[in-house]
Amino acid sequence: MSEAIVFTSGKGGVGKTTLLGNIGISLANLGHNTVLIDADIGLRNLDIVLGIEKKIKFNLIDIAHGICTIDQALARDHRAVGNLSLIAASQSHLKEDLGKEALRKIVSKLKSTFDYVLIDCPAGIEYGFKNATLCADRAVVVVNQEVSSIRDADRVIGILEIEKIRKIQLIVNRYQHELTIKKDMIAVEDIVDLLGVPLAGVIPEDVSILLSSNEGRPIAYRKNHPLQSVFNDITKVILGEKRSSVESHDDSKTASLWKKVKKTFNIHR
Amino acid sequence: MPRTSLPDHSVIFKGIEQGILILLDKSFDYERIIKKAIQKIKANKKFLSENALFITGTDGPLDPDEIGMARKMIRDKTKMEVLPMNNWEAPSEISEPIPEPIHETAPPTFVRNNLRAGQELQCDGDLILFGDAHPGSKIIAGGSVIVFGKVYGEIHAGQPDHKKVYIAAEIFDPIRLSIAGVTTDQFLDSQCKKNWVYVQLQQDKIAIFPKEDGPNE
Repeated sequence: MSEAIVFTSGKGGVGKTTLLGNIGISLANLGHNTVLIDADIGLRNLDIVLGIEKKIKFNLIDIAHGICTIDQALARDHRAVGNLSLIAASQSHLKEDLGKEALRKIVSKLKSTFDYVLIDCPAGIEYGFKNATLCADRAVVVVNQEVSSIRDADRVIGILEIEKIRKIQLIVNRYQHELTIKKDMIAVEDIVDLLGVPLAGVIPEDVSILLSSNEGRPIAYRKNHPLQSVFNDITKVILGEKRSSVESHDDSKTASLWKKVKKTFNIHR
Repeated sequence: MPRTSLPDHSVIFKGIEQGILILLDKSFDYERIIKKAIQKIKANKKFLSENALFITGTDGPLDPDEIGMARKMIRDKTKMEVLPMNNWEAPSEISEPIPEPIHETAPPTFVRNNLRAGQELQCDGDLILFGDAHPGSKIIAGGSVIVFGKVYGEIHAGQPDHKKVYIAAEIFDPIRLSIAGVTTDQFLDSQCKKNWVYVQLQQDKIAIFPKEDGPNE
């Protein structure tokens, strides 16, 4: 059964778009037909993160306004093992230019073709956010260890609950190990405890994620990079596997990373 | 032909120096007036039991038979004693009935979920929350508040005229706190933050007790 998953955060700049791009690649590499929608109208970024900006001919607003078909607007990324496509945001429109019913219809049609529709939600809780979340079956909330990020995530989760989106998962992005050990950053277990939603995974702060995005070659494509398996493991949790079972499948390279993470989170499983 | 219920002003509670005066409007059926008074006494029994009760008529003193009937009926139904007050005269200005304590009459509210940032929970009476009140959330209750969880947001219990309310919480570190309109800047020590605490007014100041001391009822 196809699902639409919205990636949201409330606060901007937590790394949501980069994360969504990498999770999308992992999903496609696991063999799932995946389409990514950049719903951040006016602030198009996901195409750059994926490195396929030159393939964008049409965008989401073009579909909504009947200028092109969905198929024409799909920009395919052939580096993924499975089918990975992107519908980019318009750069020249406002969020209000995308009608609620239009986006709902587009997502509904995409669900008939793709296994997973990942929606990159704009920051904030205004129209763009509400439009994106209305189309979703479930949500992934991305936070980092900033108090403001956690506060905003809490607000967003409250709104998602009101919108009857019951399945909500949490990803802690840009986790700073050293600062957390020194207690200069909020521990992941405290974030999970405060927000009260299940943790899908933790992505450590790593400059190579940023560099990879700038190069248009996301980490999830780098087979020997330890973070690739971190994204794969989080993707499996999003697909329904339990975190403990994902951990048991770690290979030796990621095991050391998991060991570090487990030690930090005081997990004794 | 069904009987219509008596208007609220047919029985008025008036705060006087000696206690609480119950004024009965004899323009209505006298037995029904007394029954109405019994209803109101029962609804506010906790509050009224702390005061001496007196009875008279809105337009003048009650006669001995009327007083006897009222005292007997009220005693039988509420176990409370009322005394006649035949020398009371209404002041020339319009007298306001004393406000009824909202938390005594409104039913308690039970909520079973987390209160997240930006969310506000309001109720007239007591509130029992099974969940956490996150930073940025707000609780406003007319009565007492018991939280089986953590309180990090704003919490306000009781109305300004109702000071006998309390807050109890499992983990208590609110960003703002008031009881019956009285606020505090008092810093909570770590002991109070991480154990059951009770908060109530003592001599018009907020006092915080660890769980073993409990609230003063």
